[in-house]
Amino acid sequence: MRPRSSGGRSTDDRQVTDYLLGRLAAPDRALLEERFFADDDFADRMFEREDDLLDELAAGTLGPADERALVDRLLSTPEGARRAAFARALHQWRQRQPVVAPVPHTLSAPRARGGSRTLPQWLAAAAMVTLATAAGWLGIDNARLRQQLRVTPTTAPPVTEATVPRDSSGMEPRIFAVTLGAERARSSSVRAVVELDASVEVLRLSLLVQDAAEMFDATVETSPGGRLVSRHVGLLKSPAGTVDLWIATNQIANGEYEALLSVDRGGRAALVAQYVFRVVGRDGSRLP
Amino acid sequence: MRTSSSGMASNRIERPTELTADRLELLLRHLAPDPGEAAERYTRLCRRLSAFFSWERCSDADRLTDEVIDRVARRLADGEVISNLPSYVLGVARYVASEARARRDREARALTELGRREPAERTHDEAALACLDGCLSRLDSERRQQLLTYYSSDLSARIAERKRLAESLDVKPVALRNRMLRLRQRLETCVNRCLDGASRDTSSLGATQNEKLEGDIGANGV
Repeated sequence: MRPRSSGGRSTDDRQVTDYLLGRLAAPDRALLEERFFADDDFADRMFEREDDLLDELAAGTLGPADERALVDRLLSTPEGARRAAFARALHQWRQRQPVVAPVPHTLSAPRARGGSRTLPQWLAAAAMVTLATAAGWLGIDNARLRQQLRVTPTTAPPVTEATVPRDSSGMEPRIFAVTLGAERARSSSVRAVVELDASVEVLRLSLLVQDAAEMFDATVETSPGGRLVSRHVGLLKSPAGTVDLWIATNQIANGEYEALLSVDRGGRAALVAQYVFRVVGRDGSRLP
Repeated sequence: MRTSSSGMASNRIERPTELTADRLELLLRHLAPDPGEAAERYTRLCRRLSAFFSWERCSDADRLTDEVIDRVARRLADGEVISNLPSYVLGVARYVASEARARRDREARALTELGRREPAERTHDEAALACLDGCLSRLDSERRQQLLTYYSSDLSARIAERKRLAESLDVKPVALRNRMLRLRQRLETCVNRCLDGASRDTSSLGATQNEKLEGDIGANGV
């Protein structure tokens, strides 16, 4: 039986939290560590509390003092930083999910709900309006940027290179990695063909850049049409000279796309490269 | 000798290990007579060690975990009688942590500088989100829903949500916690391997590449 404080909260829980935030006095810390190594259940509670703290950090619901303590204690190692990144991704993923009515927690009931990314009608309509507005603005913006590109064409080679996924028996998400060279003009006959089979879940575009800038913004949109697919800001050039974008394949269907790479030049966005590629379903199973 | 135990993708510096098969077997026998139970205890021990080093702000927790396991196994092989193994392991871990402290401080300063580069962090987050999306899609909908309920976004409601979930699944809260911890750990491993594979790609431009990530998220994985 866990000792409980008058406030109803477990004394253990409070101690665990204090430990994880680096606030437990040395003698108590030593005792707690002994218990952590000796008691499976207690160890699991510590792991759980650690996860909860990282989730609270990701959600921005920790108080400033706790946040500072957590960052200092847990995020000062590469492993801790990765765990925090995972918690942020989990939080963002949840935020992206549609709001649905709660369903009973049974082993079979969630089928109707799980895996569904369909938006409620009102939310879908709202999203369309938002997207159309954004796409319209970006359309104007990108037209201006394309004009700039014609004036200062990139010298990057119009080389395209796509990879073909190999069979995978693994259960983890399959990444399809594509390296694209920039095009001088939209009319170029060179088109990278990204052939995806239905099992690919993440598309990574590595955009070859020759611009000297280190940081870029990127927009991926349909072509023609200019419908916004994704926008990426603050991308750093890799040591290999590429800018890498990540796109979940459920965001794209068969068709042509453009990736537009821009940099900030004195407060103004300047388009530095344009990449055109076509997505086709390898086995016809992707969306037409 | 040891597979990843910390729930994070193995990103450690490889070094020759002194843990021979004989020593490992001796350690496993000391953990439990039954091989299956011994393996389970070994995995738990490694995860504890990895977490301990992380909490001690030591970089490369996996390598330090190996270091502790090596030292303890060697002691057992030398004939030392260890009556309280968890306590003994903790003692060795504290010693190893103190050895690593100076290096830790140096690296922490470097990481603090790195942490100020917000755009890089954003880039990493986008990659992590895309990877997470893929990893979650590999889970069957029931387990995905259970996981998301257990780690609900409404943090203040988590305790009540978890209790309700355990009741609806007719399992004890402790068993549910254990299940969800393992599931989250696997999900983290999946995301980290996805990210590791991606970063490897960028160093070999020109070759056709595709990532085949080893499976940690399986339909029957937990």
